[in-house]
Amino acid sequence: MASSATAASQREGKKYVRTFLFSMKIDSPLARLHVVTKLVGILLMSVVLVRLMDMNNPDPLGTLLFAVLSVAALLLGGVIAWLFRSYLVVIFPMLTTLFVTWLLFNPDPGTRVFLNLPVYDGTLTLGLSLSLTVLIFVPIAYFQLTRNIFYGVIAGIVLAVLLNSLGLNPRLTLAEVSFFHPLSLIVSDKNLVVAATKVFGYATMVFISLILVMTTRDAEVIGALRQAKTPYAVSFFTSIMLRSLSMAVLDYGTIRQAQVARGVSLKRKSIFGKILDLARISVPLIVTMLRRSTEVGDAVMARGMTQLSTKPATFREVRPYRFVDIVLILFFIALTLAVLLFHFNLTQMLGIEIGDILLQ
Amino acid sequence: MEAIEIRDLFWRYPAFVGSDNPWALRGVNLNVKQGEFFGITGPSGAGKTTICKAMLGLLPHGVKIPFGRVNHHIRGTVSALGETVTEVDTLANKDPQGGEPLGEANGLGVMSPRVGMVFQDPENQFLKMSLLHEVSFGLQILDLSTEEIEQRVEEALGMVGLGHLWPLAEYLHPTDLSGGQKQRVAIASFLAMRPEILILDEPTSDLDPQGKLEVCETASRLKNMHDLTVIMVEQDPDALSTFCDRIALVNEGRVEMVAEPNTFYSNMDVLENTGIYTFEVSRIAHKAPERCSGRIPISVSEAVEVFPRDVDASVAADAPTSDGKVLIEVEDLWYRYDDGTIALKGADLTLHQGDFLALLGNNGSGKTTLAKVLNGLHRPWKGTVRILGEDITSPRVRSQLPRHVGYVFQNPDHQMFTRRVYDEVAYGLQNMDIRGDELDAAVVEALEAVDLLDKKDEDPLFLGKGQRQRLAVASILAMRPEIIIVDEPTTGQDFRMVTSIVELLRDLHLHGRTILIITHDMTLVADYCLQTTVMLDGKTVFTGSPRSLFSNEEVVAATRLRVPQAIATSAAIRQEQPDFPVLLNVNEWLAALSGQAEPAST
Repeated sequence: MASSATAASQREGKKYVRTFLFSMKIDSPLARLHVVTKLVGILLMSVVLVRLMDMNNPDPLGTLLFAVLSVAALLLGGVIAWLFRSYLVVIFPMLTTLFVTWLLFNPDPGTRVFLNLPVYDGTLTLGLSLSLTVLIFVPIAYFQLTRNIFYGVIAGIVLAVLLNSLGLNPRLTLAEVSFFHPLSLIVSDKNLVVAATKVFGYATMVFISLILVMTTRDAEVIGALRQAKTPYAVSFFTSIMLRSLSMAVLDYGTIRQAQVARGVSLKRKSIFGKILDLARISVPLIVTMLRRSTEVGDAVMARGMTQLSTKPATFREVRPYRFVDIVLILFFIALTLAVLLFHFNLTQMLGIEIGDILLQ
Repeated sequence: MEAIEIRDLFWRYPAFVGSDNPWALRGVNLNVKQGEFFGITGPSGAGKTTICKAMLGLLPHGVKIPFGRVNHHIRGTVSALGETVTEVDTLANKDPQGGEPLGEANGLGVMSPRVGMVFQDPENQFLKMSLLHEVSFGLQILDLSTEEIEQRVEEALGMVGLGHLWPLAEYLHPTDLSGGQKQRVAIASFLAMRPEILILDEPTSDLDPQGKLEVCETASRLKNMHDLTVIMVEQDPDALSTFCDRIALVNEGRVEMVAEPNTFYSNMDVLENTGIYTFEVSRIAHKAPERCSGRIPISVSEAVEVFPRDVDASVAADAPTSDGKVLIEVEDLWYRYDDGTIALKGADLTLHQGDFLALLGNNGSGKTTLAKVLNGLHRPWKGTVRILGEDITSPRVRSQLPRHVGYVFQNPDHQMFTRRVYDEVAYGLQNMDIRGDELDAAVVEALEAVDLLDKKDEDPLFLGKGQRQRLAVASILAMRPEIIIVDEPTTGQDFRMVTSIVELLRDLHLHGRTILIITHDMTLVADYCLQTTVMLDGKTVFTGSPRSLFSNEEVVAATRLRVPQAIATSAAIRQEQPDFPVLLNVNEWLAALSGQAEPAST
C-alpha cells in the first residue's frame, strides 16, 4: 500500500502520457481499454454508422446519440482540450459544408419542400457574353498589374453578377449541349433529416478514429502483437519502425526549418514549385535516416539482440483482456447484428416521424 | 586478469560503392586492466569508435563481410575478461575459385551482457517508446523473469541517479527526457544487464557542461561501487583527467601513447601534432617554456605554481565596444511552443554591426529558440524584436528575414538539399531569384571563402563532417545576409576541426560580417568572441565581454558555465596578487609573458 501511495503521489507531476497523437490522461478509462477492443469497436461502429446514414431509412436520433457518446469518450480520455485546440477548427467547417451540401443538392426532395431554386437547367450553353468576358479578363488584368490574383477574381465575379442583374449582358449563343441532369437548390423535410444524420454520422466516425489514435500508445500495439503470438521479429520491427518514425518526424521539422532558412519561402511559388521544394526535403531526410539506422542497428546488437530468432521475455507489454473489454466487444457485435439484420433504427423505434419533428 | 587485450588488430570497413576503404585500424595493441577507468582520446576519424566496437565484438561479428574475404578486412585478436572475442584464422576458408585462404573470424562474438557499450548520440540508441521498456529491453533478451526484470530496472535507474523516475518509467517517452537524462538511461539499460565492462563512446558530446558532469560522475561512481571496468572515449581533457586512471592516444588507426593523465597531458610534443584538445595552461607553458621553467602544468592549481608573476599587464584589454549600427534589438521576448512549453521568458539581446557575439547557456535555456525567432522561423509571442529597424511581428517582415539573417543549423546533414556542392550553395540564391553570372559569382566567392572551390562538383554526402559544416556555412554566406547565426558548430569534433571552423568565422568577421554563435565551448568564446549574452531559464542574465563574464563569479555560478583555464588561472593569481592582469586566453597569456620576458633577457 505504502509503495503504491508513493507511486501515486509521484505520478501527480505527470498526469498525461504521450500517445500516437498528442497525449492522454494516464489513468483514464480509455487508457485502460485493450487496443483490440478499441479497434474492433471502431470497425463495427463504422459499419453501423454507414447503415444508420442510409438515405432511405436515416436514423438521426441514433447517430446523434453516438456522436454525443463519442464526445463523452474523448472527454473521459482527457484529450478534448487537444482536440479543441487542433482539430475542431477543421472539423466544424467540414461538417457544416457537409450539412449544406446534403441539404441543398439532395436529388430526392421528400414530401415537404420549403424552398426550390433551379440553378442549372441541364444544358450547357457555348457562347460569348459580356459578363463572361469580364469574369475572365478582369482577374488577368489585375494579375498583370499587381502580381496578385485574389481581389481580381472577386472583382470579376462582382462585375459579372452586376452586369447580369442589370440586364446589360449581351450574349451570343453558339450551341447548346445537354449535359448532366438539371440541378436545383432544394430545402425539404427529408433533406434536413438526411443532412443532419450524415453530419452526426460522419462526426462520430471522425471522433471515434481520433479516440483510437489519441488514446493508444505504441507500446500497446506491440503488446497486442505479442499477445496475438505474431513472431517476435514482426513486433520488434514494428516497434523500431514506430520509434524511427518519431525520430524522422523530429528530423523533418528541423530540415523544413533549415529549408526556410535557405530562403525557400522568400517568394510566392506555384504549386509545382512548392511540390518540388517538398521533394527536396527527401535528400537530407533519407541521408539522416540512413546515418541513424546504422547506429540504431549497432545499439540493438549491443543489447544482445544479435539474432532475429531471439525470443525475449515479455515484460509489462501484454495487457490482459478485462471484463469490460469482453462486454464492450460483445456490445459492439450485438449492435452491428441488430442494425444489419434487424434494421434497428432508434428514431423509428421511439415512434418519431420525420415530418413530425419538422412540423413542431 | 586483463579486462581487454587487443593484439595487432587491423580492420577495414566494407565499402558499399567504388574502391576499397583504407585500413581504419593499423595494428592496435592495447591492454585495459580490470576495475580501471580507462580513457581513449584522439582526433576525429582516428579509429576510437572502431576500437570500442571491436572490444564489444560488434566488429567483425555484427558486420557482413563481402564475399567472405575476412583476411581482406580484419587481422589480429581481441579478448575480453579472459575470453576470446575475435580471433582470425587466416588460413581457413579456401576460396572455391582461386584456392587461396579467405580467412575466418572466430570467437565469442558480441559480448553482451558482459560488455556494454553506450553510443555517442542518445537519440539513436533509445530504441523503445518508454523509459521502462528501454531499460528492460536487454533483460527481456536475457529471458529473465518479470520480477527480476522489475527489480533490476529499478535498481539500474537508481544507480544512474534517476530513481525518482521509476514510478513514471512506463509513461516517460524519450522526448520527455533531457539529453543528459537520455544518456544516463542508456547507461542504465546496460547496467541492468550487470556488465563487467562498460564502454562509453563520446557519451557527452551533445551535452552541456552540466550534463557532461552528470554522465562522467555516474560512470565514476559505478566504477568505484561495483568494481566495473569503464572505458570512455572523450575529447574533453578536463573530463578525461578528472576521471581516468590511464588515457590512450589513438591516431591514424594506432595507439600512440598510453599514460596516466598527468604524464599524458604534459606530453605536449606528441599531443600538439595530433590536433586533439589539450589543456590551455599546458599550451601556454609549451609555447613559452623559458618562462615556465620547462614544466607543463595541466590544472589551474599547477599553473598558479608554475607561471611567473612578472607579465606585461597592458595586453589585458578588451577591444573597444562596437558602436556600429544596431542590427538586432530584442526586448522582453517571450515564446511559447504549441505544447505549452514556455521557452523564452523575457529575453533581451542587442547585436551591433561588426559584433562577434556568443549566445551562451545550458541545454534548455532558450538559446536556439531565440535564434530561431531572429531568423523568422518562430513568431514572437510577447515582447518586441526589431531586425534592421523593422518589427518582425508582421508575417511579411518575418518571411523576408532569411535575406538578412542567415542561420547555419547544428547538424550539416539537415541542410544539404542537393547532390552537388555547387548546387547546394546555389540553392539559396535561386530561392532569392538570383540567376546567371550573378549567381555563379556569388557561389564561387562563397566556396572560395570556405576553401571548397576544388570540391564544387562533388556530392556533399561524401564530404567529411568538417567539410560539410563549411559547406553549410558557405550556403548561407552566399545569400549575403547582414547577420550570420551559427548553432553549435563544434559538437563532437576535435580541436583541429573546431579551430578551422571558428577561424573561418573569424575571417568572415574580419571581412565585416556580423556573427552570432551558439556554443558550449567556453575556450572558443574566450579565444574568438568579442561579446557574450548569457541565458538562463529563458531569460537573459548577462551581457558583456567574455572577460567581464568569466570574472563575474555570481553569473558563472548561477549559469554553471565552465570558466576557461587561462582566465581561471589569472583569477587565482589575483587572489594573492590583486594587481595581476585578468588574462583571458592562451594568446593573451603568451603576449603577456613575452612582453615581460624580452626586456628581462636583454
